Amino acid sequence: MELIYAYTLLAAALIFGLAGAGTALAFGLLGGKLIESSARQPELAPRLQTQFFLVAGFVDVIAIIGVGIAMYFIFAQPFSV
Amino acid sequence: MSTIQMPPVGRIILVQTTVLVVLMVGALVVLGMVSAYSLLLGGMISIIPNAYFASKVFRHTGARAMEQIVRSAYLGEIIKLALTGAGFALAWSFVRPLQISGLMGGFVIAHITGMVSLVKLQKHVSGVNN
Repeated sequence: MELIYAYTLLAAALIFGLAGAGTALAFGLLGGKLIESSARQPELAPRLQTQFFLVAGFVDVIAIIGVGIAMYFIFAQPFSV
Repeated sequence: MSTIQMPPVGRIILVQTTVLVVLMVGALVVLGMVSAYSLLLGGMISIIPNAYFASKVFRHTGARAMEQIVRSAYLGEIIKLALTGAGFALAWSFVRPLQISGLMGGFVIAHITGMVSLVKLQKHVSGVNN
């Protein structure tokens, strides 16, 4: 029982870590490109800002679903017998 | 000089909420009470952090404020992830019985509705301006 709980927590920690790392990497690239593009063409800044918001939504959805499943593992404990 | 136009965030939230309520009523009729409130909870877990993130991203506008925009977007994303995690944790801990497919389905549907309505409304706004 303790072993199942430990492995479940390990899985949740892996999901949190990988999701966080992926989102951080993607947001770093996205923010960098936003600054670079708006420095190159400042007149496009409002449109780029909206595109940034849109892409941010696509970037983090998988990570957030991962967080939801990790929370399910921790709090609902589906593997406990 | 370009005019700075914020996307209609209020209307996007309204569209998301409307779609969610319609689906919840459908689920209530077809699948039952547990599915209906699971769907609603999943949707709310998506809508509330996204609305906060939108308010952070569009707090500053214009090319001169781009560094501030990116900084507040990073902060907004961290708080959005924390709010979503807290929402899921609260739902899994305190709401019993809860349907996992309903909760995750409501979350994904609300997220996709937000993205699609943002694209549609943005096209509509730029079409009117051009």
